[in-house]
Amino acid sequence: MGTVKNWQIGREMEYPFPESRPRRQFAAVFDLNKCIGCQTCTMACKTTWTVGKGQEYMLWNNVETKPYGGYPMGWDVTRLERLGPQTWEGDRYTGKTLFEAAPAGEPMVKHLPEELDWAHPNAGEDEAAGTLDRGAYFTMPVHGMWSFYLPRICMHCTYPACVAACPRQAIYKRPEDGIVLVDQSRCRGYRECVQACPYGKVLYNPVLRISQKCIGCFPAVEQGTQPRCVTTCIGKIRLMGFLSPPDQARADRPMDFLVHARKVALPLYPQFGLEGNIYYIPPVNVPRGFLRQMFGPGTDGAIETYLRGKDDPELLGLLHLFGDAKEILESFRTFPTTGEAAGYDGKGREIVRVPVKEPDYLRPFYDAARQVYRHNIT
Amino acid sequence: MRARRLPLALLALIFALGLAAAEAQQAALQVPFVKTAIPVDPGWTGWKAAPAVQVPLMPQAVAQPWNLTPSIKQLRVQAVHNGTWIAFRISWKDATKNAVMYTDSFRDAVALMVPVGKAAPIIMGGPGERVLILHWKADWQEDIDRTFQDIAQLYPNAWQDWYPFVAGEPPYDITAWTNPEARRYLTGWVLGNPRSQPDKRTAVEEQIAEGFSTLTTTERQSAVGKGVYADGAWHVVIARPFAAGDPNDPAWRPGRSAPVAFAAWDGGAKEIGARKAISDWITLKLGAVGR
Repeated sequence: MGTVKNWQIGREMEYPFPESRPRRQFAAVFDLNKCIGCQTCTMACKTTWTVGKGQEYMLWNNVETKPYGGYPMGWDVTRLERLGPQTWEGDRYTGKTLFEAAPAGEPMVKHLPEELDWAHPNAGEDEAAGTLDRGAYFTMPVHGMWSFYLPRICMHCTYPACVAACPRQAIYKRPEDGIVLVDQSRCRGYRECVQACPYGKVLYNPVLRISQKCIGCFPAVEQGTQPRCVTTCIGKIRLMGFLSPPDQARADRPMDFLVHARKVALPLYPQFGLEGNIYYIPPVNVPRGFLRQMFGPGTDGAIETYLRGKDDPELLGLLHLFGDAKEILESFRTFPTTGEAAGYDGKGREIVRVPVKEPDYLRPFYDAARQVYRHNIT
Repeated sequence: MRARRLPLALLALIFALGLAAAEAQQAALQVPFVKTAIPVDPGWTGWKAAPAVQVPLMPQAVAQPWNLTPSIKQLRVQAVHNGTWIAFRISWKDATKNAVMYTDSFRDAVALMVPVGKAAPIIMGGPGERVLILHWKADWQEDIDRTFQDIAQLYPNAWQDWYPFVAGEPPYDITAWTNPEARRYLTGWVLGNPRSQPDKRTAVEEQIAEGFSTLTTTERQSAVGKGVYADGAWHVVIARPFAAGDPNDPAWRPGRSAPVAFAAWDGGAKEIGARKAISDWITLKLGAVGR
């Protein structure tokens, strides 16, 4: 066991390997306020990567409805239950990570999903947290009755549990982009990684008898293109980019801006200790206790920042660049005078420029030329 | 990775014990010479006359993950040779036959290990101290005895309308995936991973190792084997030429002694990989070649 720095929990922690951050880290931000659970991302991933034998049940990308959904079923609550109540003191996690809570002879807390746990990717879909009392109606900003969609892919963790668990060292994290891959020629299907990944994102192929996982669309990323699940998102809730460690963050880089500068995008279950690299803008209409357990102590600040977004031209500008370009945005700028935001590639060339606010058009209710009344005049 | 396995002192102790055991000849198995060809069959009548030893198994608690309460307590081992080939017959009680793997289940297996040189650490060898490992797997046996465990075998009620680039009709047997575009999805098969091959020729995988985490399938596969499950027990034959013209040939030969160690897995107890029961070294006393 070595000691590594995990900034998401504000302290050092135990991990089987020494700290070795990649030159660049694959990361993405998903805005949960905008996800409509349409599963276009799921289908884009499915048709690209998991249409082979033994992959029939596999969803490297899935969207589940919280609080009850989960693929595999109970991936989150099984770990939370095994860890038991744990504590944060401010931004510092004083509880135990999954590595630190490991039983003797195991590198971390593990759980093997049962066959049926993979059989219901839509379990809990569109189910709300409770029943609607007679006469109840939405009370903003937090709904008495709520649910939200949680889109998920591999977190391409800084400290992957799958890498730590593989007795064969057949899983590796690429130094060039931090993408985590299972070597398909060395894997022997022991499924230690399947048991280790708390996010349930390593899956066993029962025909090929080896384990497989989200590959971060590395052939696309190597060409400077964002992954399929990002570029096909019709709600434009996703942006993929590269994330720096906090001490090297640059505010003109999209991931660094959202995660480190504005802290509006949060890690998923940071207390697990993996320093996952998919970040979420938490949904504003969900009880804070649930969100704090899920996204950590940054939840309240993130929601406040997000709700103030209309007064934050940079944040608003960057949120408008979500889903607007296929290419990976290495940096971005906003132009307050023209009301535009633009994204740039690694050489500073402009890739995309969008208006942050569409111009207003007001049309008369009655169109005399056509002799019709308009239903929509703006 | 090495640092986390266990404190160095403990590693050294186990290392020393392993070597010492090999020399102390804790248990010995007489390996008689037989004049015939040795059928790769645990039901061969010649096995009745072969001496047997009971090999006790211990928990594997060196490399993570440990298996402190292994399911299989001992193996009954016999061996014979005919001057060219050596064959082992290994039997053990197992209440359930586990030969098919779903996402949450594991298969039964047994393996034997022989140093390539004179001796090697019991912990699957060590750097520069290579071991040869012959690993029989119940799922490979199932592939051979019945048919490759494809979706139609694993999930008879499953239906898939279509796979891209695959011609034919459901259930689109894997052997029909001839289009290179389709085969890209069969990663393990295309990359030559022995586990993923639909056309298995034997249920034994020949491998080498120089310590934990280094297990590697050898290019040349010379071992063969067959396992039969009957009356609550597995009976497995593993056979290999003494010398296969391979740089990984062990230093075993007729008329000499050689160490061998065993490991066994009960799939029903979710044992796989490092989650295994292991033996200490035992000594093979190989009979001289007779007339």
